Parts: sequence; structure tokens; C-alpha cells
Amino acid sequence: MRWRTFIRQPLGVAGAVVLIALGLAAAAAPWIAPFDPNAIDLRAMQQPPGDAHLLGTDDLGRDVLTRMLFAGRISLLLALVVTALSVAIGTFLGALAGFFGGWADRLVSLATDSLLSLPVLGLAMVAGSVLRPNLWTLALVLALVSWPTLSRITRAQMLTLRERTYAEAGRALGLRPQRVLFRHLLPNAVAPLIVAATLLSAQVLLVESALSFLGYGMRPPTPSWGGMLNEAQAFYRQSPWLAVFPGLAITLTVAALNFVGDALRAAMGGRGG
Amino acid sequence: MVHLPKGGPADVYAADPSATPEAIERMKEIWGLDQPLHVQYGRWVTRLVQGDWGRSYVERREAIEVVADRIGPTLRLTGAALLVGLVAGVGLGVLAGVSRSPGVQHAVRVVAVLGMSVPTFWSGAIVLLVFSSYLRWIPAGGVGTIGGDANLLDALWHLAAPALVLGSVYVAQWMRYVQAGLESVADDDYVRTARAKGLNRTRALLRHGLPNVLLPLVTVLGLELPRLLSGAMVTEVVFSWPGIGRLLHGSLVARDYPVVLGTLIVAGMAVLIVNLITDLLYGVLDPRVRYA
Amino acid sequence: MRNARRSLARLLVASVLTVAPMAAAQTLTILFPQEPGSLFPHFDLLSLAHEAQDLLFDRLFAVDEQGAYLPVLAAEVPTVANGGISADGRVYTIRLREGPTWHDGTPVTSADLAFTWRVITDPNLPIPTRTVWQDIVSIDTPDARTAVVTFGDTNVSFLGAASFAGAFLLPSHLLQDVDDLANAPFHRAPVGNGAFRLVEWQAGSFLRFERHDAYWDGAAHFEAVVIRIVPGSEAQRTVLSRGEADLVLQVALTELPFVDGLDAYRRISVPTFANWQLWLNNEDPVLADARVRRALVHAIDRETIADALLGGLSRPDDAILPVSHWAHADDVSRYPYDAAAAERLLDEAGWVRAGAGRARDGQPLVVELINIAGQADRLQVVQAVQAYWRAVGVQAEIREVDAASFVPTLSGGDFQSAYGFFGEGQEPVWNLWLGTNWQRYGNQEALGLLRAYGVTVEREARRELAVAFQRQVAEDVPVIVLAPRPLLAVVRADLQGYAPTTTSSLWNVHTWNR
Repeated sequence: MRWRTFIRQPLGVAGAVVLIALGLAAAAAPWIAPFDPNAIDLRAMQQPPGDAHLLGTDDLGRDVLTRMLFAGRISLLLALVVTALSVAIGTFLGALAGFFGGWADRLVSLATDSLLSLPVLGLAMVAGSVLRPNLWTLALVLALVSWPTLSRITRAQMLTLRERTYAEAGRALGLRPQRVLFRHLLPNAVAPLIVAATLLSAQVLLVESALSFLGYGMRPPTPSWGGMLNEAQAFYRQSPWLAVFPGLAITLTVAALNFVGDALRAAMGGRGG
Repeated sequence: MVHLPKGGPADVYAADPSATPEAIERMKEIWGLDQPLHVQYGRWVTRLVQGDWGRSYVERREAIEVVADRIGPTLRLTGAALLVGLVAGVGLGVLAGVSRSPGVQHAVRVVAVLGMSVPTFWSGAIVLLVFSSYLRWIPAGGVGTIGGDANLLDALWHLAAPALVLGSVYVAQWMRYVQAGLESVADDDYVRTARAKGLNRTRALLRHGLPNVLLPLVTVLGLELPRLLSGAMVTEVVFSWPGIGRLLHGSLVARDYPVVLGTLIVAGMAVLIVNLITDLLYGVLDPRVRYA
Repeated sequence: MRNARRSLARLLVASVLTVAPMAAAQTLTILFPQEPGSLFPHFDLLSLAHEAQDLLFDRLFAVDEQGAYLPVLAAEVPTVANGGISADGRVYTIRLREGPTWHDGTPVTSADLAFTWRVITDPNLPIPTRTVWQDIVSIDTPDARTAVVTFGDTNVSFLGAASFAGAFLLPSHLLQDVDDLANAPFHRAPVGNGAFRLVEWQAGSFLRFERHDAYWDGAAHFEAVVIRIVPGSEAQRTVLSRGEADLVLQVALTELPFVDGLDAYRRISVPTFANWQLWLNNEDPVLADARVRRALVHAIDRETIADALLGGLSRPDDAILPVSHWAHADDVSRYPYDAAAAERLLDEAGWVRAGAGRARDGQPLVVELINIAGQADRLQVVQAVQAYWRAVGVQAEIREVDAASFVPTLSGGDFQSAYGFFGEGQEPVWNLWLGTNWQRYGNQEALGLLRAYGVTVEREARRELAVAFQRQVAEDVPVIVLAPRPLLAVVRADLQGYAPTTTSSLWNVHTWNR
């Protein structure tokens, strides 16, 4: 990791700043939000952004700014949890496949290839229709369809790394294979994984919003950005701000994560592709 | 895999006061839903191997017919979206790759990344609102003018907006790929030779570098198909497009399992076929690859 | 090259500007958000499927805008006075009209009615509802125009049932020899006897109907009808703002401001006897206490919900039959918005304040509220109810389920409260109470009133029984009535003849004009 290279990427730095700002705001939501996120007021419905409500009110008179902050908690937490889960499953299985080869490799590759050959959204919907949707089941569903890309990367890294000198040296020294794998090989595969995980977390935000649109996202009244954007559908014309703010939040976050991912790739000496 | 414990098709009959528990059981028997899930699934697989995909509970005809009706529109949409993504992506990638101005490079990247960062059900609705409702440049969705003559122009006119919305998601990755590829071949021998012969950097890159960058791109096309289908599930609902993605969504909501499974089979098969085609294509395009 | 480009441009302009409007001149376009799977009558509960079938099929009777029966395939409405109904209300003699034919030219006969009854009651067919028809003992057909329908017991609901979508006749000459009616091609290629016949069905896009020239009541003014399938809400608005549809049925109330802003359209309130209501599970340990149920009604500001979320189109009421119904009860127990009364009742029931919520014996007061996912206007109301309940200390949790699992969840009793609408017809059959009884109402005395209703021929006596039942229900609060369900249709301002009734939107479609 070459921090100076990262710092020299203006888009990456801008992305990181946006992410940190949004993350802090979401984390501090209970303390900085001006209203109760679920307090309705049927006499102050769909008020445009103004003095009383900085970002206006929604179709039940709830403060949009407050809900944006609380929704950010859910959306960002979801992206984080899904990414962590996918990295855990993906690196474990990918390392297993790449390091040991043989039937382990064939099994993992079969699972990876079949999952990658089906539409993620469809699979997530199928899984989502069986489970009662909350943050954790949704995270599980998304992780189950997201790990294959990470497993593929890890496996490819393992295949190239295990023939390298330090792995051979480790084996020559009589170290147990697990030790070689976890102490020597995995740390060397971290760089591309960090990049992939960053891009994956961006993808999770988009998939969550698409799932909301198709009726399988976070269930109300728990606000998520995707859920808010979906609920705003009925009011695109009457109250456009209901769609604009969550839409911008998703777009900004996804773009920021992509820029950060690109900058990390450059900083870690990887090439595009 | 997809048979669900609650809310099966026979359960709508529980709504009827006259439907005794026996009658509901009988209904499940007629549909084979009285068996345990693994037995149902086993039966379905056995019949699938024999070419029988089962019947749609909703449309009451062969699931394979239901799915077949929707393949054409989805092929058109995903094909056009792929083309949009490729043309724009390669174009922007070349622009960023040959330009040495950081300003241009950043601008190109911002445009491409924003394209992939906007939820398509939102951008699609905005496109309809602005270009169909207000400006009247594009139709309000669908594959063709109902009752009009089916002709190519009408079809393209309907295809344009959904293909642009779906395709915009894929611009960034092609751009990134082409840009990085051009930067990496810039120092290769053949590009340097071309420059030594008097071509300027841009021309040398485009004439000699670009073909080598684009060639491997063919192989990744197949991998894009599942993502395109995912995207199509949303785009097809937004633009009233009668394709596979919308069918999968509707069938899941209606718990029409044979159609859900049929759709996933078709999606999987399409990926296999496209991968095969791209492999062959790669062989034709790259003389170094020969198949025995 | 330049020539080619110019002619290309001309073609583009031609296809864009001229083809669409000209072809649409004599076509009635109806926008559907969802595609019916099958058009075989009786196999589908989807109300939009019934509307589409209405183009193709006629029923024995219709109900007009005033709620009076009209003969359609029948030549006259049977009454005790004209001898059509036996004095004990067991035997109905139906005389069919001379003239109606199937789309293939075959006359409609009494054999078709008998066949339709056999199909609806065939235990081997997946028919979702057999109400009323299953109580028929026999249908005799002394001649092609006469059918004698005999019930085992007095039946007061047959005319109502024979006016609904559940009464579309089937062509016996085409279907009686078909082995597997559940999977017959007829589902996607039906042959009917209505004002229009199906000529084209592009899956996922549209259904196209052409008029049946030999229709018995005169061929329709419109040459064709197109049902256009538009699932996306913004696409629906776009179709309307471009003026490309003549009629949209079941418009969401959240669209009111948009619809009212359209010059070329007007909105019409479709009469309905349905109420938006909350089913309460009367066997639930928390909700079995009538004081808790009454508290839950008092806690909700139904007036404000009706004004803000139901477009001000209906007024809350506590009777289960709406004001527009002939058997509506006026003097029932009232539960105005009164948070203090709600809190008092909850205290009495032992649920005392504990922090923001309430608890009894250390157990927090939680009520789960089930809703069908995906509809903005429903979600608004459910979240409002949740907020009102939380204000009096009831921890309400919303659980959204998809449409397919709503009914099994309720019928299985796996719920505490659920939001939905329910309506009796012109002739109530009291399904919700004597049949499904999702709310698990156990007051046998009250239910006895309904059983008496079912065998009382005289209408005024029936009304009194219905009123007595409504009073008892308002006392017990097994369900919470929010308000009558406003049903909106949007029609082009220049469309004439659209006159929806409680049973059908398209019953008189052949008389429509532009």
C-alpha cells in the first residue's frame, strides 16, 4: 500500500471524504437528527424543503432529513455486513480451492460458476421470498449471492502465489499446509481483495435498492435509502424531493466507493481489468 | 430449491369458505403439492430431463411456452444494452487512454462511474418523465406501437430508452478496461516501433494498441450476461418490456414455481451458449488460438 | 446515401407521428397494471381478470347503478311474484333470452348454464370459490331456453351470485368433451358470448379484442378493445399524460393529485360495498380481551386518516356494512378518536405504562400488524395506524407479506392483526363470518343471526337480522372498520357510457362511445 499514490488520486480522495462524512453522519444519527424518524404528522404531509424541515417531509409527514440519516445507518451497515460476510466466505472457499486443488477446487469452482451464471437479483429474490426480511436475513441473502467473485479472485491469487518462492520455501521447511496458507499466502492476496471488497460494497447498495423496487428489500417502517427511494415512486411528480435525496445518497456513495476502489487499486500496484 | 412452505398456489383456495380442508388437500393432490418438497423437486427434475418443464399455475400452459414467449424481447434489450455499454465504454476508454490530460481523464471517469451508480429504476423513471411525458421524444414503454405496423424503426424507437438506461450501467467497466489496456500497451514494442516510424502517439495507440486491447474483451462478454439479466429485471418493469426479467419477477410474486425454475434454466443456458460463442469467436479473431 | 438517409428519416417520422393515432381511433384502450394469467372464467380470483373476462362473457343478470337487477342472458329477473322463484326460495326458474350466441355462432342455451354449474362444482378442478353454486342440488333443462335451478334449502343469494363475475356462462359445446379443463387451451384462447372476442394476446404486452358483430344487444360502438399491460407506476403516469389510454381501473389513491392535474381525464368513484378494515385475531392472548380491541379503535384517528390518506372520499363508520348498502345499520356503538379512553381501557385490561410502552406481568404489549407489500397507499395507512397505536403505548410492529401469503397467513391464524379490505355483495353471503372467519369471532349468538338470515326469504326481515348482527359486531369489535374503501377509475373526458356498478365496470361496454 502506497499512501502517497492514493493521496495523488483526487477522485479517490474525494470519494474517501464523502464516505467518511456520510458514515459519521449516519453513525451520529440518533444524536444529530432533528426529529423522531417514525413520528408521523398527517397534517404536515409532503412539505417541500424549507425552514421547519430542511429536506421536507414525506408522505406521512415524517422529516426526510431524519429518515435519511437513519436510513444511512441501515444502508451502510448492510453494505458493511454483506461485504464482510462475502469476504469471509469467498476467501475461505477460494483459498481452499486454490491451495489444495483437486476435488475441493472442483466443488468450489462448480458452486462459483453456477452462482455466477445466474442473475444475482433473481437469486436474491428467491432467497428473500423464503425468509422474513430484516437487516440480518437480507445481509445473509446478499452475501450468499455475492461471495463467488471474491472466491474467484482468491483462488486465482492462490494459484499464482503457491508456486512462488516463499510458499515453496515454507513447504521445504516442513511447515504444515494450513500454516503456509494462512501465514504466507493469504496476506499476499489481500491487496486485490480489498479492491474487490470496496467495489462489492458499492454493488450491495445498488442491489438493495433494486430489491426494494421489486418488493424484496428492507421492510418498512425501517428506512433504508433504497427503501425510501422505492417508496418515493408514487410521488415522483408531486414531491420530487422524496426521491432526489435518497437517490443522490445512493449515487454518491456508490460512486465514492468506486473511486476509492480505483484509487486503492492504483495505490496497491494493481492493474485495471 | 424454490418450492416454498407457505403461500403455495393451492393456498389461495383456503380463502374460500366452502373449501374444506379435504378439498384443499385434493387440490394439492391434483397439483402434486401434497408430497414433501424433496419429492416434488425430484419429480420436477425427472420430468425436466425428459423435456417436460411442468405447467405454469398462472398461465395454465407449458412453462417452456411461457418462458419462450419472453426470450426474444430480452435478447433484444440485453443485446442493445450490451452494445450501448460497449460503444460508450470503448469510446470513453479510448478518450481517457490516449489523452494525457488529467482533467479529461477525470471527467471521463466521473461520467462513466456516475452512469453505473444511479439505481436504474430511478433513472428509468426520470427518463420516462422527461423524454416521454414532457418532451414526447420516446414512447411510454412497450416493445412496439400497439396496433401499428411492426417495422424496424418502430422497434428501435421503443428499444432506445430501456437499452440506454440498462446499458449505462456497464459503461464504466469497459471504459476502465480499455483505458488500462491502452496505458499498458503504450510502452509495448510494437507501439513504440509504430511511433518510431513516424505515427503520433494517438495514431500508434489506436491502430496498433487498440486491437490488442479489444481482443481479450470478447471473452469476458459471456460473464456479463447474468448481470445484464439482473439489470433487465428492473428495466423491464420500468419500461413495460415483456421479457424474461419481468417474468421472473412476476412468477416469484405469484409463486409460479415451474416458470421461476424455467426462467433460471434459460438464464443459465444462455450463459453457457454465450460463453461457447465467445470462445469460438476468440479463436476466429486471434490466430494464435486454434481448436483441435 | 443522402437519399437513403432522407427516406429513413421520413419513415421514422411516419411511424412516429401517423401510425399510432390513426390505428387507435376506433379502439378503446384500457390500462392494466397486471396481466391476467388466464381468461377462463371461475379459475381466477384476480379482480382484473374478471374485468377482462367481462369483455368476453355475459352473465345471467347485471346490477345497475341504482343496485337493481337487470336481465342480461336471462330474459327476465325471476321474482316470487312472477313465478320465477318458488315461495320457499328453493327453486329458481331461469328463462334465457332468445338471441345470444357464442362467438362461433352457436346459440347460448340452458345446457350451458347446467354445464357451468357442473364445472364450478367439479371437485377435481382447482376452482377457487364455489359459494352458492355448491348449494345447488340440480339444474334441469326442460328446453333450450329454460333452466330450473333447485337448491337443497332456501337460498337468498342466487341472484347476487348470478350477477357477479362468478356467473359467466361457459360454452358446453366446446368444453364438455375436453378432458383436462384445468389446463385447456381455452385459458389463453377463450370463446365467449360477450360484446368482444379475443383476437390477439401478446404475453406481457397487450390483449386485443374485436367486437362480436352478432352481439344480442347490438354490436359495440368501438371496433376493438386493447388491454395494455403497464406494470411500472411512472410508465402508467406517462401513458396517461400522453393520453394513450381511455380507462384505468383501480387507481391508487396516492395518484389523486396527479390525476386531478390531467385535463384530458376525469376521475370516477366506483361504487363498492367494501371497507378498509383491520382483522383482529380474537383468539390471540392479547386481543381476546374486548377492552383491548375497543382501546385499539379509540386510539386511531380515523377521521384524519380518511381525510389525509383516503382522499377525503369516504367517512369512517363503525358498522360493517357501508352506508351505501341497503342493509346498513345506523345505530351502532361508536368509537371516536379518544386516546385517553384508549389508555383507560388498556389500564383496565391490566396493560400498564412501562416506559414508552405498556406491559402486563412483565410482558410487553406488542401487536403485529400484517400488510400486503408493494402498494404505497396501503403502506401509508398501516404506518399511520402503527404510529397511533404506539402513541397509546401499544408496540405495533408491521410485517409486510406478499399477496400470495396474505390469505394463508390469515386463514392459518398466524397473525395478530392485519390490514385489508373486504366487502359483501348486493346479497351478503357473510363469508367472512360463517366461512373464513379469519378474525375467529366466537359469538355464537351473533353468528346465529346470520344463519337465520340465510334462510329468510322476506327482504325486510333479512334487513333486521343484518342490522342486529352489525350492532352486536360493533359492540364486540372483532374487526376494526376504518372506512369504506374508495375505488377510483380514471377515464378520458370524452369517453361516454362508462357507468361502473358494484359488480362490474364493463357490463355495458358495448354502449360506450367517444
